[in-house]
This record gives sequence, C-alpha cells and structure tokens, in this order.
Amino acid sequence: MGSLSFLYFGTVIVLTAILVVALRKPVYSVIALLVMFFHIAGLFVTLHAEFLAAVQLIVYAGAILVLYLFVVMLLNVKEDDSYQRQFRLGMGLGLLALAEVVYIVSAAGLPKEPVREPAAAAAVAGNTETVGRALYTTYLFPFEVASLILLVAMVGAILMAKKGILGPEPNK
Amino acid sequence: MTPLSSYMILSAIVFVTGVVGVLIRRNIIMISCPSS
Repeated sequence: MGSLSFLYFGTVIVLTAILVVALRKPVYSVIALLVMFFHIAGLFVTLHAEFLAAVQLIVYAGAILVLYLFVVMLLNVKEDDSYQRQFRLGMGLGLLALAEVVYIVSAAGLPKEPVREPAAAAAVAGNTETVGRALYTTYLFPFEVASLILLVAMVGAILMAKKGILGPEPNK
Repeated sequence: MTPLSSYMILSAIVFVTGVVGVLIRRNIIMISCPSS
C-alpha cells in the first residue's frame, strides 16, 4: 500500500514538474505547479507528517501560488515563443546533475530498510512540537542562515523597487 | 514500504527538472516559481 501510494504520488509529481517547465502558457504552468503541491502534501501525509502537509497547502498552494497567479495576470505575461538556444546544453547539464545525485545517493550507503512509522518522539510529543524542536535545536544554524538570506532578498527588493529614493543615481 | 533512497531519487529528479527549466527557459516566472 505504501509503495503503491509512493508510486502514484511520485509519478504525478514528476509529470507535473515536467509540465511546469514545458508548458508555454504561464497560467497553465502555475496550475500544474498547484497539482504538484497537492501531491507533495499527499506524500507528506503518507509519511505521517501531517503538519508539513498542512503547511505545504497553506503556504505554497494557498499563498505563494496565488501571489504568482496574480503576478502572471497583472504582468500579462505572454506565452513563450520558443526554447532558448542552449536547450541541448541544459538537457545535458541536467542529466549530468541527475546522474551525479543518483551516484551520491547510491554511494552514500543509505539504509535499505523502508521508512518507518513516525518516530517515537513524534508519537509522544506530536508532529508540530517535534518539527519546532528540531528546527530550534538541531537545525538552528541552517534555519538562521535561511532567515538571513530572506532578509537580504527583502532589502534587495526594497532597494530595487525604490530606485532613486536614496538620492540621485551616480552617472554611468 | 518505500526505502529512503526512493525519496532521495524522487527529490533529485524534481530538482533536476527545475534546473533544466531554468537553463532552457529564461522566463522570469519559470525561474522565480520553483526558487520560492
């Protein structure tokens, strides 16, 4: 049952990911992305990570995707005429990256046994509490680095949006 | 049940799809959607 659901969710995720990249009309791409987000949430549910599934739906499908839909519609982005010239280069690099990742995963000696039921900690403390505890103890440094990167992006966006507010631009 | 390596392979395929998308379609929406 677990393998069957993984097969279903995995297949749909890969297919919709390809559609997001391949479709010419941006609105269709966004809709394919929405389907992908729902299936990723389903995959989280099969792993008993209900909190992550809810966050996936609320934050990505509910907020970020709607924002992109607004951007696509407001900017009136037309359909892309063609692929870029470096299509072969992109495909080659992509396949190379995939082979590299597959090699790393197989060489890393990951445990062959299946992913088990939720950990004992999650069963005792609950899904949300376990995620919060891991985020603020084991993964505190990556969490802070991510927040710093978002802060830099926010400052950059403000500076780009308010060009000239800090005085006249220097002559080029 | 599904082994952990299957999940890693699936995530690698999705990641590489995004990389290829950025390389072959230099559309701003294509680049910004997956990166968010």
